Amino acid sequence: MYKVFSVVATTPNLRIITTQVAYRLGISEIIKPYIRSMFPASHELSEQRSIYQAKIDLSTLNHQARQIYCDLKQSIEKKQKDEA
Amino acid sequence: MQGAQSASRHRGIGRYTLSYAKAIIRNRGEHEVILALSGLFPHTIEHMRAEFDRLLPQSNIRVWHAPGPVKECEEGNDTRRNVAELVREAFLVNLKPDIIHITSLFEGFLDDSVVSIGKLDTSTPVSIILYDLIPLVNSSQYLQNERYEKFYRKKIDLLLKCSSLHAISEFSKKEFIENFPDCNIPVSTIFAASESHFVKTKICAKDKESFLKKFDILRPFILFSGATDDRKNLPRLIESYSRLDKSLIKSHQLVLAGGIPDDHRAKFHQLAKDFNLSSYDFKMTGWVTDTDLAKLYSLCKVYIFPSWHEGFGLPPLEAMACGAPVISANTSSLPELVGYEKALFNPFDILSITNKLKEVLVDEGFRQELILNGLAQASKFSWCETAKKSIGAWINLRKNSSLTVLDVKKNWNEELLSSLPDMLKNSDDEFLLRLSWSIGINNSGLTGRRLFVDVSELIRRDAGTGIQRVVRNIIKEWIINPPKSYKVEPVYATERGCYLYARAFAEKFKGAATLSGGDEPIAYSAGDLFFVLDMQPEVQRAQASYYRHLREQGVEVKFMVYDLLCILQPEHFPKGAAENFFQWLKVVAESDGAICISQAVADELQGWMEAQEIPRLRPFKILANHLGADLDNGVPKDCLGVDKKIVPSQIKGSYSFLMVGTIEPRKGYNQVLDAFEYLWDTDGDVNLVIVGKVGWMVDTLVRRLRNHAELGKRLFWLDGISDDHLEMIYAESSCLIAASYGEGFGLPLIEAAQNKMPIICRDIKVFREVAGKHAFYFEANEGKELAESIINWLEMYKGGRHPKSDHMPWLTWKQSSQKLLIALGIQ
Repeated sequence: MYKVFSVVATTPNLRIITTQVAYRLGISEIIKPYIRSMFPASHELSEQRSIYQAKIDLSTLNHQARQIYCDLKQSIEKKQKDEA
Repeated sequence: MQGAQSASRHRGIGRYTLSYAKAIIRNRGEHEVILALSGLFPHTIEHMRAEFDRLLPQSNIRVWHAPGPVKECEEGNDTRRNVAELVREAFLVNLKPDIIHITSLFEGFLDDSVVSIGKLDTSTPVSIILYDLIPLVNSSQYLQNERYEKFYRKKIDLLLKCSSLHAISEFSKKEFIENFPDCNIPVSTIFAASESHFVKTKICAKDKESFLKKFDILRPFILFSGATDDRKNLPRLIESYSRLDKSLIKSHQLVLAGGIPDDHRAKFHQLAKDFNLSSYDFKMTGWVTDTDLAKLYSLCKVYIFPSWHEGFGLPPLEAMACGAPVISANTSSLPELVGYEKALFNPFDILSITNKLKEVLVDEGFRQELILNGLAQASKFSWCETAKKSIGAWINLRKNSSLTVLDVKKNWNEELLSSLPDMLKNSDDEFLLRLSWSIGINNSGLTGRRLFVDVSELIRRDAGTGIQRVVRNIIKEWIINPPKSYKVEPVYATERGCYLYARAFAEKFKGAATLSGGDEPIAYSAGDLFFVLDMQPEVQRAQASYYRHLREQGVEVKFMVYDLLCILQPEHFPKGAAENFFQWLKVVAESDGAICISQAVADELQGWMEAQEIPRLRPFKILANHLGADLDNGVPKDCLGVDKKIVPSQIKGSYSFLMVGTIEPRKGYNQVLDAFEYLWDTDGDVNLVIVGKVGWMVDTLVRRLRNHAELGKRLFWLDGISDDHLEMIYAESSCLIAASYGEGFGLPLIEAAQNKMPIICRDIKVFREVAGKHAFYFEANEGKELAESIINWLEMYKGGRHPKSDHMPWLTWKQSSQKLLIALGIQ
């Protein structure tokens, strides 16, 4: 699972720039102060999480989603085969 | 609604989006409004749902998902963004909207907003709010970054693909028409408004002084508020102020209110220094709350807004609404906003700004004119009017016969899935899984509402406990007599972090033939209801994030709460039980509400919630619903233990007192046994019949019972008998004793009443609630006291003067289940 920090900074022209750092959960407290120190205190440093299911595998997909996965996989493989 | 979800939510566009959407909802009339939220901003969803909680049904707030990140400022997001655009369009068109309205188009460079038009759905008309074209018109200042310029110009292309534009000012409309003279998109002007809390704030002299002191404002002041980018023209403002007469500067401070980036702050300080202004003359407050801002507007000597380019200009409107005398630039939208030519100045001319400032500072008559004009002008703008203008524009748009009618029969999912493979050739399996999950969840609302019922413990083992009896009876009633508007789905938790349909389990119940399919992960959507009926504290604690996710999706999550005894009477439970229960209750407190099995429990839960001060964004509803009490005939039971159905003959001949319930400290068995020992010592012709399994913390009591001299004579203990057998015991006994120190409900009282059996019970709140005047209550700390109460009761009983339980009201499971549906909000 990854966590992502968004750092939003304002500049006169572009108005806003951002940087993002993704890192594995577990080292957040080490890296957070470092990222914080890169920007002035007035800039927003917000912690974001990605969608709830960081861990998605076939067994967590319901029937419809599993069907979509199989259809997509099949279509992509067919396309790749055709192109080859 | 992404304008209120992205980083823009902290800025004017975010506030505009929220206020605008609320006004549209308030003025929707016969129209249906659905708010579409992006799942790519998960941390905003609960806040957004809370914002609209009392305005719109949660089922009309829908969340779509797509795998991110997709922001344009980073390389490598193109495929994901292209896919997300199609996924979003498919989601929206599946809602079958008459109009899709985009509140903020220019998002997605620095954040994961996704906007496209006509990539999949070419039929549904799309309208967009037009704020301004500032970067386009001032490209040398705003489009220096090549990547950003590409992004911005793509957005302009999208703007030109929409069916209708809603401009926030006449100027904004004019600016669009001037820049795109050949474009025939209809543009309506809808304006904007200030929030209702921006009104003249009365503040006494003492409070005024301390309030202003916190911002280091010590003299009458000239106020500016807002952002600080170039077009706001702040260097000219500082210079113009410095050109005032020395006496005016010394008697008036210049105050910039609002968050200012450090580099701008340093720049403004330097400028002030260059113009010989002291640190007392020129102040920057930093970020202020809306409440403080309203006070600053109300207290300033003059509000000045020198910006040379605005789409609307909300700060001067807010200031006017607060009764501030407002002077502003005579460019862009500001003349139409301020509506008073005498209040305007040339923002590029220092002298013009200085002169206007001087005029208002020295001429009180002019200042009063500005205040009166401002109040009158501010009253012309309201969100209600803005909403009506937008709705009118949409109605006109739909009347336009040239629009293609949406093909409602078209299978948009097929269309989507056939468009995707070309894009996904180089995608890894994880992305495909996430994409499939997203499309699946985006479409899971197409099949009608569901009532998910958590039967996690019952499906694993039916130990015949009170809670499992409740679960069995309610799920049976709901499967046989489902509510009209919901499909009932028993479900259970798994270690995989999701819930599965308990379809094999459901088929055990008669009438469940319609339920088919395997035990697979559930599909859920806004408008569904997830009811945690069964109690499995450790498993449910592990599902906390799942419940949170369900709520974000618009699924209402509610719990059944049977009691709070573990935390209210921890001395009666094994070590650690209270902490475990406390953690479970915190998960409950995060949900939408609880149905308690009695009003007493509901009151206790309410008290606990208040004491814990659990932070919540949306309300938590607590209701009470009594349990059913008829025996659960026809309900499958797995293991109800040994059942020889023998009624000891001694019970029939004497005064037999029955106790029913697990052998545990809370039930008061020790005290009752003490009482009966006293009665037996005094030759009382009484029997004590105990029906209950061995529970916890009762080793000594169990030894006492098993080795008791009266066991099998005047003391009887039936362990693990069936409901049928229990009914036979009820029929032969004289009186029920309910000595429990605490209960969630007190089912034995009702079972006794069904058998017209008198009841002696401890005087606790829940027993009063269930039995009312139909029972004899005792308050006893010792066995002897209880024995005396029993003797008193026996005297009354012999004379036929004891309280009768014959007419005690109670519910059948059918009634209880139907009432429970109503308590859950299902009619």
